[in-house]
Amino acid sequence: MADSQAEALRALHDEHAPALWRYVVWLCGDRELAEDIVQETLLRAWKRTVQFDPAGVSARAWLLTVARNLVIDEYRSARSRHESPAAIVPDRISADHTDSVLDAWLVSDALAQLSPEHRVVVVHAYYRGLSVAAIARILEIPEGTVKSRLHYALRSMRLGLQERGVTE
Amino acid sequence: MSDHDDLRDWDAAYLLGSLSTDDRRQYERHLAHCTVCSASVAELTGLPGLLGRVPAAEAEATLDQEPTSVPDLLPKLVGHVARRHRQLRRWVLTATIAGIAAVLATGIVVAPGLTTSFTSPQATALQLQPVGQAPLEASIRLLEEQWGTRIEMKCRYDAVDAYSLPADYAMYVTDDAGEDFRVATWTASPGATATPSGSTSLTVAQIRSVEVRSATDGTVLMRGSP
Repeated sequence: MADSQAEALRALHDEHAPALWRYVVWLCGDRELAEDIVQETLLRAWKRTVQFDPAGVSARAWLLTVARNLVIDEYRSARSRHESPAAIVPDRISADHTDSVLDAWLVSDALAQLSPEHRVVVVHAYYRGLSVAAIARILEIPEGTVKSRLHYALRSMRLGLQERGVTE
Repeated sequence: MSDHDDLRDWDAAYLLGSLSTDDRRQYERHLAHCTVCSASVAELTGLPGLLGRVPAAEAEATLDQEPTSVPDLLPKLVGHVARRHRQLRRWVLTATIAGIAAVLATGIVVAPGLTTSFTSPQATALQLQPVGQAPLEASIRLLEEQWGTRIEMKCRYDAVDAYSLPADYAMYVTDDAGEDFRVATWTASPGATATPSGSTSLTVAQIRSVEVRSATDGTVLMRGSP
């Protein structure tokens, strides 16, 4: 393999493999299958590097779509082989609304990538609807710290989502 | 404004509805005349909507879950590509030789260097060591070819007792990336010697180990490395 090609493959891997792997595991809950799917997805991206701009905002979305389709193919062929456990297609895969499923994952992944300190204040404030004072009491930190952690958490999520191509 | 330094971090708590009533009023009064804070709030207005796409249970789950350790897929990936690459090269080479042969047949051109393709391959001898208590004895010759490696094996299955039955075996090669491939299967009868052979597109240098495994349950019975 030429050095430049090996370099391209390494760059693709380093940039996208972790998110792809998390996405596929989230979709199907199968770590072994996820390895195969991510490998095949990256190989496909690598083979079409001419048209594929790895830095493009849409690159990640393209890769996630390829990976999801490979997962669907895998379940379909498992079903046609009558392998009963694998034939139960997880909801996340069978859901019709591709974009909303993908968006939900992207947001969830951006949330999961926050530091634990940042994540916990967001979950308390948004999903549990707690006030700054209540969060301060639960976490035993000053109210000012809660406010500033929320501030940095949302900034960091906004950045993370922009990197993932979610801008709304 | 004097209160700006105190309130500059309040944008997110404000948007998520977590400020107390008093704080919210104070912040709104500040927003009315602070363009910096207004811009900062505007930047984050999309976030609550986006957070709303994640079911609460799933968001809660992110609190408990360990950060997922992502396996390093690069070695496998590189090994895979290298193999595909070699297969492609082999293809081109075969086509080239076929082309040259066609030319030779018409007697127009004599291709130089063609003889090298037909020199006898380099052989590497290898004794496999038993893993556990396998009643087997096996030796191997690795023959480096232009297209990869041919593996010739002599495998003797000693009868443990009068009731030993014929058994199915398989030969596996493991490459330098740790991926293994089955290259041959055979049935051996007690007391008999089998001479199975296999081939792989790996070069001898890329073969990390050769193994004999039970074809029935995959147990590794013998192993050797070049």
